[in-house]
This record gives sequence, structure tokens and C-alpha cells, in this order.
Amino acid sequence: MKKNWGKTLVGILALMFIADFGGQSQAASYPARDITMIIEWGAGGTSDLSCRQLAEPMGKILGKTIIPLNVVGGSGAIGMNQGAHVRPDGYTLTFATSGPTVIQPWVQKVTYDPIKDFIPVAQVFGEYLVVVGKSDAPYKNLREMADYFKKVGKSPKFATPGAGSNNHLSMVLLSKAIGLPMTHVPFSSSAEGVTAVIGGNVDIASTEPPSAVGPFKEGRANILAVLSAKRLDLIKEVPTVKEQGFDLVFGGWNGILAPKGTPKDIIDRLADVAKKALDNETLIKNSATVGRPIEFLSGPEFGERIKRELARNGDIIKAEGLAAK
Amino acid sequence: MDPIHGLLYGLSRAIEPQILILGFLGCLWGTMVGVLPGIGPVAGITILMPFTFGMDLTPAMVMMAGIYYGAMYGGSTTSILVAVPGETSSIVTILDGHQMAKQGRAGAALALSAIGSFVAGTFGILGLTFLAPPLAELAIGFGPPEYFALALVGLSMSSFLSNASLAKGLAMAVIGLIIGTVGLDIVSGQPRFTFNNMELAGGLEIVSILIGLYGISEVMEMMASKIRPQIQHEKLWNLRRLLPNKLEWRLSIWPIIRGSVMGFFVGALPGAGGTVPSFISYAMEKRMSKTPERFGKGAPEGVAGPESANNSGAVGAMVVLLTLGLPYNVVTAVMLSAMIAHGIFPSPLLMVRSPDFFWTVVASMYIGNFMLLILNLPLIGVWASLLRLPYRWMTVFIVLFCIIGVYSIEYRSFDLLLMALFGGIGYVMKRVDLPAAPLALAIVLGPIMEKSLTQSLIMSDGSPFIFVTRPFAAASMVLFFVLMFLPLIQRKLGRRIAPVGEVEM
Repeated sequence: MKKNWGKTLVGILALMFIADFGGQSQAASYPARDITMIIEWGAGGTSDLSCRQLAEPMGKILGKTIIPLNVVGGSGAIGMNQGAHVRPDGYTLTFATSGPTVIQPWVQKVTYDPIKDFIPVAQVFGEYLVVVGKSDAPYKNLREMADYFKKVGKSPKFATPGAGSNNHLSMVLLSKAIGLPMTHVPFSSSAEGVTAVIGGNVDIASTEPPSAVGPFKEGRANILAVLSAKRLDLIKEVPTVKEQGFDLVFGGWNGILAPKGTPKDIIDRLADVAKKALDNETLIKNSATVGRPIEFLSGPEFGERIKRELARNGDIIKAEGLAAK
Repeated sequence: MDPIHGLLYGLSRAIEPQILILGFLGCLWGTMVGVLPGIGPVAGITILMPFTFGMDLTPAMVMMAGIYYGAMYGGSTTSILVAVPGETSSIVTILDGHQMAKQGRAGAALALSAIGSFVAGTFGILGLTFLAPPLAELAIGFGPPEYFALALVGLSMSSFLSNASLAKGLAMAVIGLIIGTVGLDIVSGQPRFTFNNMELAGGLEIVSILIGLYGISEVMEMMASKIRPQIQHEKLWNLRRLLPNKLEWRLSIWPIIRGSVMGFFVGALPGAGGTVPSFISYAMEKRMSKTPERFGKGAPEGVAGPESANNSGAVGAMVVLLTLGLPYNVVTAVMLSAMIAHGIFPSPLLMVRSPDFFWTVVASMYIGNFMLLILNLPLIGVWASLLRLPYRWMTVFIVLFCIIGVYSIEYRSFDLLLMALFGGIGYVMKRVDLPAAPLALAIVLGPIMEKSLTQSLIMSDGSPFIFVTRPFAAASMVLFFVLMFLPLIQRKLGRRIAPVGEVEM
């Protein structure tokens, strides 16, 4: 009996050994199995939707399925952290959004380095925020709002999905651009912010377009401005901040990151696939529906943008006193 | 389209084969997902999300809705049989449901749960049909002060959740509040109790804690006890013993009605969903009972009420989703994103703009509710017979499902560690007679309460009067004080409902 067990054990070990060696030729046969894409936000949110919209055509081109995985928490930091520390074999990617990548590292102590721990594959979407107000408020655009609050001598309360979020930062910058002090009321999601505005609990909210567009089209809420350079297809009638005479363009982005150490040919392949996927008709239509226009940047350009914005944000955040203590 | 015509139209569409089948699949999958501890409707819907992109919206919604309230049906099964909650909304069911099972009344408990769920679901859907728009208008004014007041009232109910001494209950509640603070503070983003650990910064996952506290600790108790309780085996085919007897029915009718009504309205309030109504129902039934000492020992009202409340609560939550497009929990958020992806924006005008969609979904909910009843009743015998499994097999399976369930939430092994830790804590608590329900309730409500308090004070520029000047908040605060001080007042007046003994749940 003992002898048989010994042989079996050796046999099993040998098999494992060989199977592992099989992994060495991964780059050539990539992808040999399904790929996981980490989403730093919760299911049902806009980022979640955008990632899934991208994952489908990308998966088709690659011939495998890209499986989205929601890793939620810490305003996206938990997902980034996981994405930074997985095996760099190209089978786990991160669908990164600008908040956790270039804002969070300043606002909280994070255990990942957005530049050193990742290799940028490609930027895919642009993210632009809107300012939402109540439909029966005594102001219909930014200037009227500023005048109104200066007259009554109060500062408006604005809702965001959380301290240190993209939304929060954008409102800080907007407040400066308009010259109107504002008070921040944090919530846990954009949807809550919109509700708070409609319910009269806050004056305005900074949200992503999809959360506001329903109530907007119904006339329950008014979108005062969009923070992009050009008007968004989804809400053509909403003027940009610049159009209203204030100097601010603030945009976030969505892009694909891979952990440091991922082989270059896999990165190049993925970037290529992402670019092709962005030509997909369904994707183009769907991304307009959620208010995230397609904006492609290649890996190196994407990386440059991350570096630039990380530095810029550091200055803003420290000046605002929001930096992690 | 007025409700009657709408409903008839919807029914005509809802019995189309594709819709019917998808609805059935949704209910079936929802029940399964509800039965398995740890895996809830969230996981169930997320798993199927990719498939819904390929479908038309109406069948997709029908299926997702089926999963949601199907899970409310299934969640009570393991709660009753093995004291492991399938769903956070089924925790309260453990208190009396499992006791009933130990006394050989498992079938009755399961039946009460199924029938209560059916009645409640039907009531909820009727409410949705006729009351949706005005209810939504009311719910939308709900802001942080109201959340805070409601959470406060909810917490004050924790004293009713166990028969142990008041001091122990309060201590557990406070500990629960502290545990709830772990993570990032919402206003400043500063970490609390995170010890520089990224996992902790995300906060402690509630489901992991609850599954550990109830499920794993129960398994540990099973393994440790030398005295095996005599679970009387029901004869599978003897329908009379499987169903509730006359007394149980009589006791349960009003709880079911009260639970259905209360659950729907509370569920429509932001943030509530199915869980909060179940806790409130239990406390309410115990408070209103002439013999509250029976609670915790197998009182049928303690099963019928909460199980009804959580079902109508789930339907209530859909009211706000369909009429305002505002999702208040992850489940409805996923549904919303599916709707948006198909180009339908929910709103009060949804009934007018897309009557086809709205009424078909509503009608399918009626049908689904019915399907679930037919699905679940015969299964009672099957579930009850599972109790015959020798402990050494049962424990293995329970632990297996708990692990799968908890891991499937965020795919983090940290959650498993958390579950194991709280399993140990829960076991010790059982040994020392510390009640777990107040702890659970505080962990769920604590974060909501703190967040709402902070937000309210920011909104009011620091003035605490905001809680008094808003009608709903003010009313809730009054209720809170009444609940807290009523026993004191009653004692002074010579009449008091005294907690009896130290019965564990």
C-alpha cells in the first residue's frame, strides 16, 4: 500500500509541475482563459455600467469573456488596492476611475501607489459631472444661483457621493470659479444626492448625468450646468460652466490599468483591443446614454495624464485642507 | 390608464409564455438564493445581470423582481430550520421560528412564513398599484433628519428583541454601534478603528458579521452540545401536522395583517427595504401581545409578523424605484441600471409614458407571488425532513453554504475571517447569555444613524432643532421617547410588562 501511495504522490506532483510550466507560454496564447476586470464601485452604478458596456465588445474581440468584479469600498480605494496586488499575468485588470486613482491617495492613507503599482493600458471614457438644483428654485443657472445666495447672505449646501470624491473636488473648484462659498453635505451615492435636492434637503448636488437625467426630463429637477468642455449628447440643453462665463472645465476619466509587471505584449494587445472595442456601435450608443463620451488615450498618454492630475490635485487638496492627516 | 384597466392589460401580457417562464425562473432562483445563507438577492441579480442586457427590458425586470421577493420567501427556511439566517431580513425569524422547529412545529412555522409572505406580497402589490404616486411624493421629502429619527426608533426597539435583562440588551446595542463605526468617516473621510489596514477601511461587512454571529455560532453550538434536542420528526405526508393548527392560525392572523401594512409603508421609505420592517414587526407584535413572555420560545406571531413585513417591505422598496427612479438599496440600484441601459427612465410619469412596461411588471408580481406560494408550500415537507440529517452532516453543509455565501459578496477572504471571528464571539455570547439581536440591529442601524445625524447637523448649520421642526422627524422623536420611557411610566403607575427570565434565542 505504501509504495502505491508514494507513486501516486509523485505522479500528482509531477502533473502540478508540468501544469505550472504550461503557464510559461502564457504570453503567446493570451488570453487562454477568461479575464477578470475589477470595478471599484458598486453594482448598478454608472461606472459599473460603463465597465460592463466595455467588457462585452472587448471580450468578443479577444474571444474570451471579461468578467466584471465589483470590489467596493473606501471610495474606490479598496478596488484599486486589490488591482495593484494581483498577479501581473494579464488576467486581472482594473477598470479605474479618476477618483480613486488621482484624488484618493491625497485624501486618505492608501496602500497602493497609482503610478508605481500600475501600468496604464488605455483611457476609454470621459466622465463629466453636472450640478443639479431643484426645479422650482429661484435660480435657473449658475449666475442666478450665485446672485441669489449672495443676496440672502447664505451659502448653498451641496450634496456629493462622499468626502474626497470627484464630485466633491469639482464643487470645491466650482465654488472658487464662481466666487461663492458652499457647504458640503456628504452622502453615500449620487442617487441620494439627487433625492436630497428634490426633497429640499440640500440646495444643489454634484452628480453624474445618469442619476439626474430622469428627474431632469420629468421636470422635477433642474440641471444648472455641466462641467465638460462641450455639451453632452445626453443633456443637449444644459450649458457648460464655461458657456455661462465661469472658467472651469473639470473632467474625470475611466481607463484600464494593469498591475506592474504585466508583460508588455499583453499590455499592447489589450490597448489595441480596447481601441477596437470603442468602435463598437452598441457601445457608442450606450456610452452616450450614460453620459460618458468615448475618449481614447493610449497607454503612455494615459500615464502622463495620471501623473499630471495627481500632482495638480495634491496642490488643490492641500490648499483646501482635505489632505490625509 | 386607470389601475383596473392597467392591471387587466398587464395580466394579459404577464401570462405570455416568455414572461411567465422568466418570472418563474426568477422566483425559483430567488428562493434558492434566499435559502442559501449569505447569498442574497443582490448576488442573485448581479449574477444574471449580463444576461439581462440581451433581453427586452420587460422580461428582464420581471425576472429581477422575481428574484428580489423570491429571496424574501426563501430566507426564512434556514432561519427556522437551523437558526441560520438566509437573509438579513430573516434574522428575526430565528428568534421564534427555530424554537417552533425544536418543538416539532417546523412545518407550521414554514407554512406561516409562506402564507404570511403571500398575503403581504399581495397587499404590497395592491399598494403599489393604487398608492404608488402619492406614496412616492411623500417618501421623497425624506431626508437625513427623518432617517436619523427612524433609525433611533428602530434602535429603541432593541430592548424588545430578547428576553434577557435590559442591561445586557443595551450593552450589546452599544457594542454594535461601536462596531458600526469601523471604517471611513463619511464627512471627513478619516479612518476610524482601521489600524492602517485597507480591509478595515472599507468597513466591516454586515452580512459576514451576521452570518458568523448567527450561523457559525449555531453550528459551533450544535457541535458542542451533548444533549441533542429531540426534534420530533414530522410524518412527511401527514398534512395536518405540517400545517399550523387552529391556535397558531388564530394567533397569526393579526400579525400577518399588521406586518403587511406596516412593512409596505416602511419599505417604501428610503433605506429600509425588507430588513427594518421585520425588526419593527417583531417588536410590535411582542409589545402588543397580552402574553409577551411567549416570545422567544416559539410564538407563531414572532414568525408570521416579521415574515409578512419583509415581503411587503420588498415590494414597498420597488415603489420608489418605479415611480421616482431612486434606488435605495443595491438590489433596486441594479434594476435601475438595467432600466437606464434600455433607455427607460423611471418617474411618476412612468405609468403614463410606458404603461406597457409598468403594468406588465406589476401584474407579473401578482403572478409571481402566487407562484411562490405554490412553489413553497409543498417544499415544506422537503425542508422539514432535512432536519432529520444527523448533526455531523448538517453542520458541514451549513458551514459550506455560509462560506460560499459570504465569499460571494465581495470575494474577499477577509470577510471569511470576519465571519469566523464573529462565529466565535457569537458562541461565547450564547454561553454567557448575551443576546445577539440588539447587537445585530445596532450594527445595521448604527452607521445609518450616525451618518444621518452628521448630515442633519450640517444641513441645519449645527442646530439640533431640525429634528423638531420637521413633522415626520418630530413625530418619530416623540415615538422614541415614548418607547424609551413608557415602561418607566408604567412601573410608576403600578402596571409593568416585566421581562421574564433569561431565555436565549
